[in-house]
Amino acid sequence: MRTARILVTGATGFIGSRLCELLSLEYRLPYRALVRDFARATRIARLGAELVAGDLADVASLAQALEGCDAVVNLAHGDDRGARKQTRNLVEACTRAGVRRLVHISSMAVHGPAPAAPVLTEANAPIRRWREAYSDAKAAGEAVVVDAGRRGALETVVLRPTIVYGPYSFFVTPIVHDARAGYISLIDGGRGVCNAVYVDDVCEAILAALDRDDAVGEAFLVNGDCRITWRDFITTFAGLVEGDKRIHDHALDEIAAHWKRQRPRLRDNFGATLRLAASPEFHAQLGTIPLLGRTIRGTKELAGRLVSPERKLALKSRLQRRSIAVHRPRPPTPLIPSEGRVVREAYRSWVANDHAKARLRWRPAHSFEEGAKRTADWLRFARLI
Amino acid sequence: MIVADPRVRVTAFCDRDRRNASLTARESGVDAELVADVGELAGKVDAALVAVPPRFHAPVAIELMRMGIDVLCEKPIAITVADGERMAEVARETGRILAVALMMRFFPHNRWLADLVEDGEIGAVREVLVEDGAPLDWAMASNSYFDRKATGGGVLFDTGVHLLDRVLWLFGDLHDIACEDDAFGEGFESNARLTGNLDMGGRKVPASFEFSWSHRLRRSIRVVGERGTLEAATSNPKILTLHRMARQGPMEMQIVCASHWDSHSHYRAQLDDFIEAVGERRAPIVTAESALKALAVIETAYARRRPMAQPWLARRQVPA
Repeated sequence: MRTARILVTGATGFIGSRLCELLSLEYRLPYRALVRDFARATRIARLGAELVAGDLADVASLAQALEGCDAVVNLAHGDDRGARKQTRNLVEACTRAGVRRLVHISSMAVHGPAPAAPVLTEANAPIRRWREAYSDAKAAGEAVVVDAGRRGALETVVLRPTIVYGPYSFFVTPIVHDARAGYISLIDGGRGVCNAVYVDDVCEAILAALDRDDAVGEAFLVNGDCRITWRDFITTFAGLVEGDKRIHDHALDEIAAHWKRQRPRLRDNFGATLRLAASPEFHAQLGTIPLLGRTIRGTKELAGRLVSPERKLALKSRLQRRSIAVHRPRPPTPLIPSEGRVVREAYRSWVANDHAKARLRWRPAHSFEEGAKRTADWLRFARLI
Repeated sequence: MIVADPRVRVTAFCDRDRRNASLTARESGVDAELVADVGELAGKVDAALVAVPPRFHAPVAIELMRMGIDVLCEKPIAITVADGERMAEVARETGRILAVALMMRFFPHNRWLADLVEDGEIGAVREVLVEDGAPLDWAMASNSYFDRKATGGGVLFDTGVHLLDRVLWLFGDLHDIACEDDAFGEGFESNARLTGNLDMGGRKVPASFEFSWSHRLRRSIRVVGERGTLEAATSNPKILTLHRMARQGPMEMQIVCASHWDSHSHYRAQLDDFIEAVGERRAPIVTAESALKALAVIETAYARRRPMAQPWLARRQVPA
């Protein structure tokens, strides 16, 4: 379809900002960027495009933002818990405003953290609730859109990008920061499959989804063409940083044991209650009740006479979980990878992009080497390498 | 800070949106009158702090001064030099105090930097390097930072004005100005690089200024001389650092320029100066005339701006 004006939600995010750059500078299509937090809008404010204040949680702001728009690219995610409600707000606002097409950016995560198929396609991968907050939130949002499409409320196209990287990517910058600190962090030898797709190729798929009428009602996995592992991905970007780096390879069972230890146990409740009872802020609040204030001051004075200052300090340190300061220089230790990172990097399936190629007439224009080179240009600009 | 000062009594909060004024009153705990129009302040206040978006500095400050009210105006003084000159002229006509809130002028290490350079501590000056950058993280209630109806520019206008003002104040005028930034069309730059020549001791000294809202930069003024570099870091206004190559290798000497200075001290010093200027009817440290110099450089820089290289921006299409 030929669009009159596009509303981009999630416009200040990583993909949204890049889409706005391409819409302004290359595609030359009229659009409006929905902005929830203007402090995050510096990148798109460079473009001189129309920025409009709004939030998927605020129905009135959506109605205003949609005025004169016949297409919407939904890149907003917000928080996991509100995804379904916010997507519904958007779909309903689109329907009321007479928007013709909604391109909804979902995620490969809807197929769960560990699909069984060695090669994942739209046809062989189920969408269920995986008890993983992000996957389930993306699935819930996507379901709202698909349902609206089936009802004929508006034309819908769903895109499920894989691991999107490029300038400003939060998959890339932590690797560079680690490398600057002198280490490379891998999970399970970095053997997991990295389904990397360059951000511009995702934007080209969005453009195709807006354009092609035979894409309506379909969902597409959007992946690059390069078959690389997470080791390839991580060492490529870490290698851009000069200097020696040590590789820290985290075994899956080591990470699992660490996070198991972090889960709250029954006795943590007692610890937390004791810390609250000992905290000066809590005393200050309690002390505002005159009778309690006098009692607390009296007890403190009595304790002060009975307990030695050293003992008092040691008790306080224990309750506030602070060890008594010992200055011992240590080499920087990489953090244990988060559980979210494990889900990503222990992935074992390749993600196919044949459906997108066939129906959207789209192909990724960037090999991993080319995408990494363009990302490196930005890393140099941002003084990260 | 203002509320706690015994020389000041806050009598009114003015905002077109009454909710903002009442929020300020509630948070500061001050029982002051809330007004929605500047005109309503006549006869109710002696002095005003003007913190409206930059495009409204000139009309609001002029209206206040014509009502006999002294003004401490947020930076940059105005959107254009012409507007700023009009403000200075009205201050002269009405005999009002007009100070500009360029609080970095009050950093203790400023004077030390200028004096040590002049005393030849680092030998002949070769170049001046200025950088200030960090991801923008101001809490924003509206789009006024990115609206031409409210403001006049991006990072050069908003952040750059502080550093440019200090360099011009300490080392004199900047000539041969060139500028590149990362904005397009009517957009607001989030990165800007400005170069020029300073006149220092009768010699042309190249100066470069780099500002960013997208990533971290060094955040300092460095004066590079034949025998070392003096650095005034924004994060530590009471210290000046002398970098020099010693026989053992690179050496860093920290010069303590003030015994006590915290993150509020420069705001307090600025307020003290304004209150004293009002009381003594003397010129404040940051006059409109002196603040206009940085705005003039920014205006020239914008007129000469060139696109900054951003090689990752071009579209790459699949070959047919």
